[in-house]
Amino acid sequence: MSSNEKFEREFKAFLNEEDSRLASLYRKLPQQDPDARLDAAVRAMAHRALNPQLVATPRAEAHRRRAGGWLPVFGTAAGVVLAAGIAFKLGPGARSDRNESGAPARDIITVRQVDAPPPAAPPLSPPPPVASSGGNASSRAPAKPVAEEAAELPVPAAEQATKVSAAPGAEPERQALAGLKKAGNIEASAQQAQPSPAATRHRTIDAQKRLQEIAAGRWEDPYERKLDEATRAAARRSNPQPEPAAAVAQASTTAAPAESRQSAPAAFAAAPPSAAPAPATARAKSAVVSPPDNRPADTAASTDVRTTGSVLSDDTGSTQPRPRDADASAATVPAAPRAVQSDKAEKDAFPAPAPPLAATNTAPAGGLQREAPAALGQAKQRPRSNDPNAKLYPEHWLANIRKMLRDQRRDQALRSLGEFRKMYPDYHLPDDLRDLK
Amino acid sequence: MGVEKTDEELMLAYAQGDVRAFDALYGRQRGMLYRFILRSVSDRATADELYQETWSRLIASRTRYRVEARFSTWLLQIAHNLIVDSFRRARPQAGAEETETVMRELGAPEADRPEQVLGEFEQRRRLQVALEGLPSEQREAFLLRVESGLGLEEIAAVTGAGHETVKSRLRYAFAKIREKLNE
Repeated sequence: MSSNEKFEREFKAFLNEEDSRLASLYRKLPQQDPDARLDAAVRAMAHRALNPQLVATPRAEAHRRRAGGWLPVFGTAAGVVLAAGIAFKLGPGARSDRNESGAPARDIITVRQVDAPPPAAPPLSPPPPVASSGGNASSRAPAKPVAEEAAELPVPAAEQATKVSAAPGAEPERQALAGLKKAGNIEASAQQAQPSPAATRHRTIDAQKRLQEIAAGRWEDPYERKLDEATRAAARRSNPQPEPAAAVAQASTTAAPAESRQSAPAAFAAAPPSAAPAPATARAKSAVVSPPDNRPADTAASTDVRTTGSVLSDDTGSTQPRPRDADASAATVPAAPRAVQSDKAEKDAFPAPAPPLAATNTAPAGGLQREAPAALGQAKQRPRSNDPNAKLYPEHWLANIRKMLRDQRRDQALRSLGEFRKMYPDYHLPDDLRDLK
Repeated sequence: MGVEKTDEELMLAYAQGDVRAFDALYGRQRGMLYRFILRSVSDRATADELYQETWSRLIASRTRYRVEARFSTWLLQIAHNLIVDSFRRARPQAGAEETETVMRELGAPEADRPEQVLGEFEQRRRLQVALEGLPSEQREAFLLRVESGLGLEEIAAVTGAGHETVKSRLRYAFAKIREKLNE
């Protein structure tokens, strides 16, 4: 057998898997297998292919490690930038932007704006002579020009609130504030206690808006004067020694922004009977600041306060609706002009309107608002009357008296007028009824 | 004791989402594939990379798997393509001149030392050296035949070569190894 034949025979056996010698020799070679890391990587790939969120391959982990190495660098850079920003904010430029008290200059700007109102806006309608009412005219605060009012409007109520808390006679106001907080209207009370810069600006804008309205001749309030006079007289008579703290509180409340007045009804409506002075005071204050119906919507909100006050619980805790002039300050507060405005004839019969803002905000701190709590106390002692008109607002009552006169019922009109004088001894009667005998 | 699933059934099961089927399949094929790759390339690092890449491609194309041949044929075909690509990237293949030189050297008579005298270790070492000295195509065909147990048709399918070409490659490989072992 030649070598070629032998080779062909061995090769044929190799192809037919009969060459066990070479195959067995090959199987004796080192049987190398993939290591465990390689096995894990392949299995992880297979598992991850079915559930991408399940396992991460070592290759992906290596990528993540490389990417994660940059995180500390980025974090450090971000920290440096933040520190530089803070240092820039607190740097010399920022320090020069603060006043001695450390308050930001932006806040002070608002106060300066309040203290130094624009010199323009002279009183467009000169204040009419103060109607004398039982000799109280001399103690009455003179009506101030509207520009002065604008200057006084943004008086920080925080200072006044501090005085309130320190004064012994401020208990009714504290109770009122407590009632507010109980009612959940903490925001409204906070606005009364702390004039934020925004609120101060709002008040300034409100005053300027009123200036513009007065300049346009749209401001009319025939009842403000009467309200001012009657309230002051009643309060001064019942409490000759003014209570500065209460007055300050009243002033601060009067100067409160419109939004707090708008939110007041809800708070008052929810106030418990124990906080009875709160609604009463609210009525008084709302009456004080109530302008006629043709005023802007923001100031008209105070009228809503009074309207809500008519359904407030009285001293007995009853929540039944009652006449708007019931009890409290209604004795010295004229009726809401909204109700009277329908009868133009009756409205015209009232005296000429006083400067509208003089009665509301231009009074000094010891003025009208100081007397309001005392007036409230007097209101509780007001004699009852059997006259059916006693349940009406004084203006309505007087209108009915005029109607009696027109209907030739002079005796009835005189009786009713007498009752009116008993109930409202300090009310400044119109000329046509003042001398009626 | 249930009937053991074939490689093809396991692959189909894995394509349907059965991870355990893949684990079983991997356990069967890992040694054969790794040795085929390791003995086809020069170094272990390349073998590891190609091994992982082979499985990665199999996993990526699992949904396209159809039972048209043995699973090992498909797996080795993937590995073969990667090995060829690796050779193309690494260095030029041995040319015809180099192959003729090897053939001449193998043809030199060394009958003074009978193979029976050599120890088994020496036989394995010679086989290993002979395998490493084979041209890649011949070595691959030999490995597919010995390591994977493929026939001529299957080797042709894996390598993409013709039947006679595969037979010729195997003939050359067999002759060189035989001569190396008989040195």
